[in-house]
Amino acid sequence: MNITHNDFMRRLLTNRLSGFGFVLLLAIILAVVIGPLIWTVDPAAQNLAERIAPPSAAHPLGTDSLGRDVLSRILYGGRTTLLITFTAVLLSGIIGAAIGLIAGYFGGVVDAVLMRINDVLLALPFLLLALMISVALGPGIVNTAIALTIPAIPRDARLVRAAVLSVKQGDYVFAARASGVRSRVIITRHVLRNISSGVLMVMSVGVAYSLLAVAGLGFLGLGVQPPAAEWGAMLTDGRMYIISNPVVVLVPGLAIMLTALAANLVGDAFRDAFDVSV
Amino acid sequence: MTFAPPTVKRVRGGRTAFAPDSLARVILGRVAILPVVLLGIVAVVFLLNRAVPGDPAQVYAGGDRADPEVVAGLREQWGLDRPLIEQFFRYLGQLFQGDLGWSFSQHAPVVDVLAAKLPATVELTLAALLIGIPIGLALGISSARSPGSWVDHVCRVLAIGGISVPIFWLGLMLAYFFGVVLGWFPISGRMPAFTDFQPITGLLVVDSLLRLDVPMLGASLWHLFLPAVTLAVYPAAVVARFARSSYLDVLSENYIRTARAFGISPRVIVGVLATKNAVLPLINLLGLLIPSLIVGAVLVEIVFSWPGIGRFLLDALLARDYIVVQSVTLLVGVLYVLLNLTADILHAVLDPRTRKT
Amino acid sequence: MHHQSHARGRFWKRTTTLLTTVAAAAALMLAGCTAAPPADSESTGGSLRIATPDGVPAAFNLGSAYPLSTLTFYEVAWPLFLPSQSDFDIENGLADSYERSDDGLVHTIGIREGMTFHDGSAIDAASVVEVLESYFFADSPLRDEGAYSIVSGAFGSPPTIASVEAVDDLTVAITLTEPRADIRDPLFQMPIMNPRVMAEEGWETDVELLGQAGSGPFRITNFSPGAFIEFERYEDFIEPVSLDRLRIEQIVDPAARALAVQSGNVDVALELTPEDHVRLAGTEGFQEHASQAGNNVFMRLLPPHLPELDDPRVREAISLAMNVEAYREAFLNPATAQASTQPVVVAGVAGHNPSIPAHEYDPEKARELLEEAGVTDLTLRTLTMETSGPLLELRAMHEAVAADLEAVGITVELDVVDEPTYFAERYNYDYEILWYGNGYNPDFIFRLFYLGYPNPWSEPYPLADPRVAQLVREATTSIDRDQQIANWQELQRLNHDELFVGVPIADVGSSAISTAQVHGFELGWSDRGKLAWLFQDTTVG
Repeated sequence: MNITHNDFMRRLLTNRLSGFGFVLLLAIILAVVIGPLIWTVDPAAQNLAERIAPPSAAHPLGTDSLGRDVLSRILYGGRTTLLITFTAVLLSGIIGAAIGLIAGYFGGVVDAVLMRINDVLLALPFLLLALMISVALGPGIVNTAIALTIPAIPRDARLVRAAVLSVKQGDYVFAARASGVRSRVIITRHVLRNISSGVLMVMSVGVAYSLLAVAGLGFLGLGVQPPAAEWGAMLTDGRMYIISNPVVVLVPGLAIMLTALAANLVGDAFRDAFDVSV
Repeated sequence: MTFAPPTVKRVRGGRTAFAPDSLARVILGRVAILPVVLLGIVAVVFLLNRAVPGDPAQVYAGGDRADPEVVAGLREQWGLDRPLIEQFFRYLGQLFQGDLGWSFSQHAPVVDVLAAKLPATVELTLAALLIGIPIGLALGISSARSPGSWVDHVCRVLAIGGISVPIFWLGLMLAYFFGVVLGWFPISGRMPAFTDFQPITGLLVVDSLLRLDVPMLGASLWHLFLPAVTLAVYPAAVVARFARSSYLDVLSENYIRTARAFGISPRVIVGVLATKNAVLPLINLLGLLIPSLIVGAVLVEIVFSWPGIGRFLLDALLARDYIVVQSVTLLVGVLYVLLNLTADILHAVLDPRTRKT
Repeated sequence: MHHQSHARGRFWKRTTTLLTTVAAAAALMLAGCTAAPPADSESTGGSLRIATPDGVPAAFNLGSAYPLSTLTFYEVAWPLFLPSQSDFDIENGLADSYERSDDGLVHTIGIREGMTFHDGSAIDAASVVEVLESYFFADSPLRDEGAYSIVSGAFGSPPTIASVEAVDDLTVAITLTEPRADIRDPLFQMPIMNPRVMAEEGWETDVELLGQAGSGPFRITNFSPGAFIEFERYEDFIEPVSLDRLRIEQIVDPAARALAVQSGNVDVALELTPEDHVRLAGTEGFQEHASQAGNNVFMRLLPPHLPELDDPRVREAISLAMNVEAYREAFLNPATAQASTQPVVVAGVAGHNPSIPAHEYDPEKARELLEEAGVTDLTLRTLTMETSGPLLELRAMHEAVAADLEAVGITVELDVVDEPTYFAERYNYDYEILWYGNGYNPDFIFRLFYLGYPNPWSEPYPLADPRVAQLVREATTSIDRDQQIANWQELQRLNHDELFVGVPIADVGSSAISTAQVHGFELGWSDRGKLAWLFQDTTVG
């Protein structure tokens, strides 16, 4: 039974929980994109006399260890964190898809070699591999994005390869060949159409995963360098004041958690909409 | 024919359902590839470790006060001044002899350090799984039995919350609330101060059972509780989500509907049929979970000063104790690969459908 | 309906099972927590549990990297000389006399009579010589792999030590090849362990053997590498010790450390963050401890790659741009941090120049100087670790410094790195913030800062000034204390008036928070952030 596009969209949008997920994710993205234009406090402006202050009118979320406005740093930090995350997910998606397509289409030795490399990367825990790459490359936004892209590639590659194989086995190729269409075109078109929701689901879950990894790296002192704001680094910054002023560590923690939550809900939404039996 | 990505309905470690026909071929195929994959893991980790700046010899020798001759001597002793290839083969040679190397940060053979610290992490991880999996299953099943109800929504939010929360933050919050505010649990170490207890396996709970030492059993459980709960949140959440979708799938399968139509009690249906078919993919899930548990263990071990390999691995990584990182990562990789292999084999054995295309 | 009641029945059954299991576990845990620390027997000293940021080694070999886990060694094994509790003087430890020949080459040490190692054997000249030789010379069988940086720092490499000999049963003579005024300072970083035990295989981690290896007031009874060490009082120790048992636990994370003392898991927590320290000091049931300042925190310019830094006006501008008082108040513990007038040494240590005025903070003047020097577009690169020793907020401090420099028009690029990268890469950067632990004899740190170690500074570094090298070398080999001090003070003046290489930030001591049950706990002055104290009068309960 084929799922029509309309079916899919309808199921996507009528699920209450996933609706909430979409809205939340959208809200977060809007906040970090537009927020800094509204709340124009400089995230790098230090005020050593007013460190680790509780929320006030001037600083609705208080100040951090250098007296900088937490709200502003959350907004700007969100840009950095989400930029890295989305870039990593997108890049790994594209590279992984390319690898999966090549492996699936050509089969044989090419497939075997690519999949074995894939297995190797998959065998290492995501964060551990990201950590090692980050230590090897050094800190910085670009390096962190790379460190998060590479461990995510094998997952996407596998998915796409499976899709390609399933299409290869299917009736499409046979029928299309019979009518004279080149198999490469067939596969690409049908594969892309069929894997879109699977990939979307994996990518949105990937967002949550990468987000927690960015936070983890920032937390361990790798990742983005000061004075750039970044949620993971803010978490590490604030963790020493967890008793004196828990807001400083609570806020970035919540930001990370809510965004990961939203991404996961969205991922669930795609999966549920796709899954006929729910 | 509709494309049904395997990762949607049946999580099987991301592998495809397209195994060759016979069981023997499946097993043989996977096993034959094993050494190649393992070699690959070693090579990747080795290269990554060597690609970094930073001189462990100088740190070990005292940093500021390091005498350059001593530093040079140490580098020579640890083989750090040899060409990369030579170092790699030297390491491989050691591995084949069962020698996991010498950790300079711990001043002991890696094997000894692992033997000393691994049981702590194993105990923590096992406890986390023992707590997390049943809770996850309970949540997931409750969800699946009444999809769309408030129970379902609550369980789903809890589950998604569980996979979204930063572990360190959770650990510190739990430590603060239960350890300080309420004072119900200890927040550091595995056993109370000044306890004279000789471990046997290193798993304190097991050892105290073996020695029939009830106070010690209680004490070790008491110390284990908070860290294990912190670590259990993620697996519980993952299992809950997975169990929910898995049970939903199975409950709607044709043969279930047929059984219901025939009046077979839902108890039997859920209990036997559904479980058998839903649990199989769970084995795969476990294979996926365990490596990420190790990473989670690192953070939990930091918060609760738990003397396991997680924290040790992190310290070794930051101290450029290359050998340790290589060997431990290799072990993790081996574990992961073996687990997946076992899962695949079990799958192929228990479910003949997956052997065919 | 039929299957609904079934479902309900199963629900209750499952719940009951669950509840029973939970109850059983809870009962066990209750049994466990009430059965916890075994009661102390006769004495009233009590048990002391300390949480430290570091100090629990992986193994007790002498060759461990500097800084040695000085804390734990001083509990197990005493050195010949001890840093004093309250000032920068030296007390006798295992030694009871110290003499130096007129030419500064032969240093004679008298060993206290009646002291024994923890296995009961006597601490005599022969054993001390054996241990000292293993510190000084490479081919002693007692020596481990590892670095003996204390030796090379104090005596050079190869060490300027000709011989170590037992003159009689209780007298040791160390003969040098180069004169020194006083070698007690490096010696007190060399604890005397039992050489018979050290000759055994695997003694460094074997609790049984370690229990016999010491020479100090406490014997090891339990040891978990990197986690904790437990001791009991060594009954035959030559001085009275009141504590019965001692436990040193390593809790690296400062928040977890604070939680540990707050929850009563430990009795004393060392080096909490300033916020936690202040908060707990003002809380009922806790008391604070602070030592006098023994660490000097300063910023220093590294050998320049940029031609702008050759101009002393630029260097002076950098100094004027830094609001060091604000850093001190923001990032350091007010209980132990004091204003500092000069880098390298703290007030009270030989070589400290009392005529140097307080640090000047004048960003206006800084901007003027930069303009005068024609510098408009200067970018400085610096690196830091997250924390270092007593500086728990080192990275934040760097960010504050960067902000101040930006305010006068200097751009700063900050890299946060880990320890090995730091030591490997530091000379590729322009400045750093660091701290020196001060001792009785600051010879080594003056050499480290002014002369360059291990290799002397070269042009164009301002410190490559020949006057500097001469002053340092003279002071090192001088046996005239006054001349030493005069030279060191002159160096400090040179830096302040002409060279502008080091900017003082603060003098810092050690801090601790203890519960109200702890009495007589004292912090000695600190060396490199590690504490050396004796617990002689400490009791708990």
